[in-house]
Amino acid sequence: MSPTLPPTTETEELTRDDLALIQEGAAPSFPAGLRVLKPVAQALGLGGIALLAGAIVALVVLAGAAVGTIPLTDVVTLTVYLPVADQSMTVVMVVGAGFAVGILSGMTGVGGGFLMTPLLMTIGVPSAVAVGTDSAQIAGTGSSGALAHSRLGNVDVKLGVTILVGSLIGGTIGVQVVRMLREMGNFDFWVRVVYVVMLGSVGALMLRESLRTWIRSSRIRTIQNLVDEGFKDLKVKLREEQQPKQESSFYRFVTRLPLQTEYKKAGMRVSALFPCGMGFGIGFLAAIMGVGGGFIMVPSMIYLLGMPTHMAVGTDLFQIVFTSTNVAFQQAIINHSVDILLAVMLMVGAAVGAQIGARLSGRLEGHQLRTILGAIVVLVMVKLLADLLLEPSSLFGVAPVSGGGH
Amino acid sequence: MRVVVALAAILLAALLAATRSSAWADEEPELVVLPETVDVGLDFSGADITISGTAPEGADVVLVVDGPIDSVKIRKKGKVMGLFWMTVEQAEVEEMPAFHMVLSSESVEHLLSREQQVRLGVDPESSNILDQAQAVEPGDESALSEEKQAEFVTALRDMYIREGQYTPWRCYHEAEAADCDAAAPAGSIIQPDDSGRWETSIGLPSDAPLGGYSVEAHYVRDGQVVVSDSATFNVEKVGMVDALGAMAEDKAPLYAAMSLAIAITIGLTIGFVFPRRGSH
Repeated sequence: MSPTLPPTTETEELTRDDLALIQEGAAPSFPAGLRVLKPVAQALGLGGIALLAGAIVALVVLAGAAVGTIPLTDVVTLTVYLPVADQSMTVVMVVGAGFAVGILSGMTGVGGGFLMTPLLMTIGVPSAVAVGTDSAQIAGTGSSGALAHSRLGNVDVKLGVTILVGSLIGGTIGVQVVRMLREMGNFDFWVRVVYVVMLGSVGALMLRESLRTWIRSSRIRTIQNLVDEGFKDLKVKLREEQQPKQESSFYRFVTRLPLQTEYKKAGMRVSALFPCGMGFGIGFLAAIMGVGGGFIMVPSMIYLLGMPTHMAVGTDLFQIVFTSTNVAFQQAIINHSVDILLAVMLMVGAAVGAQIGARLSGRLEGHQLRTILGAIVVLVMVKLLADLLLEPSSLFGVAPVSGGGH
Repeated sequence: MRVVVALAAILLAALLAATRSSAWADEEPELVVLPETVDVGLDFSGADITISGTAPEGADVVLVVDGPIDSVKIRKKGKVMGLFWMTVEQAEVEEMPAFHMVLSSESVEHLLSREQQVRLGVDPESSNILDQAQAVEPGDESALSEEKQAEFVTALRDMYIREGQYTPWRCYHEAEAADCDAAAPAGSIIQPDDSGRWETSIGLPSDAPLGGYSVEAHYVRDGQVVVSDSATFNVEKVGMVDALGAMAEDKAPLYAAMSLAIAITIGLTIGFVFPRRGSH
């Protein structure tokens, strides 16, 4: 039998440990036979932590109520009158919205602006105020991240500035478009349309990607098993599966554009038109949707431009702070739609949520996180689509006369 | 010694105040509105206005509370391309109070003739308000056609009724409009005591329009108004709500700069308190 063995290739040097690292979902500590139960166990663990946190908070509040120091009903029904939105809202609901988005953003690493705006609209904040306030909040939240990343040397300032050239223009135009749409009375409609299109495509891509990962990892496992059983000639195939080919046709197109520029820190050479154009789009979306755009920008920089992940995240945060500041500033001046009190409450909720989310994220694997995020993105999209398609409870609605005030 | 004197002084003052206020009430049974000023501060979530007065003997009371005249933009949704619900028409409605509440000790239809109701502005249809209000094109303020005017103004009235800013007359309250028998409001009824004194309260919603409100009490006997009395109260922003709201409107660049400074300061502080873990 032994003479039929294929010649030794370098693939044979791959150890099981290497494979375990590559194969997502193969943490060695989990008993092999019970692997099926792993997601269940993780879900239980996650739920347990969430429940425990909730129980502790409830216990503290209840204890306080029993002693009489915290009037329970007052805490739950405590409202705050938002000076710019001109309406009273329940504090628990607003901080809770920030908290929920914070957990998700801590878990997955995305900023969460694209969830915050729809959530605010759902709890009754006017669309324009939701969008404008969110930009101010993102400028605030992003600043600490940008600072940290620039200290770590993860910001390519040259690239960031190139993006900013586009995004400042895009943001400025976007704010004017918001003003026009509000005057036409259809901002509520268009903001939802843009969200449905964006979230629909991003969600679909994410779900497809995570589905692929699931399939690939199970295929790798199958091949690995075959290799273990003696089918040594499959090792080359195994190596191929583990390193999927990069699509490069897009990259080749970009390299043909004029204004080729060297971005040393990001380690790439690309036409300045490309990051600038992307910046324009992101700035425009920031104004219309109240997002930072990290969920589009970071993957684009990694997969399309081939930047290292940490550099993509750092540079993106750098541009987000300036883009959001510009957008929020103009929204406040032109559309009077930034409510700082609302922004502060959201930031507090989000900060606490992000801490819990970051701790939870260690218990989930990359593709699981992507699946969760993809599912949430699709859910939010469906909710917004329903707003567009279902008959409203009342055909008539009012809005304050702009400029007139009270 | 000093404490005793102080206590005595306080007691005396309290006594004086008590006798004075009761004497006041006896002499002038006028319309009293409390509070005279409703403060819209950070904790504002609606308010109750207490209104009291004294009806002449044998007279019924009809109370009208009108909010400030306001201009609002009203939008009508329609189906576009057979699929999406979006705004298809909009108008600016002017000269229409955003609050209008009628309360009485007996159904106004029993108390007053139709003409009288309209004259006093207490008819269930709110016809004088509908007549006075104007719907114009939002852009150039040009008047809309008669039907369009009527459509938008009526829709706005019905919306105010739904949201509790107008008297919830049964016939105009959507849910119950079908079996509309009498025009009696679904809300509270004023009940004067034997001496004619009455007290009632109206609830202002948390998004109550800001400005001056007028309160009018008409005392009615045998289908005729015997005497009328009026009072006012104000709903105004105070403190931080007032400061921030006014700043956002009038000094927008300053407000924008301040807001961003606050947001970024808080963001940096949070980043300092919770060192980041590589995510953004």
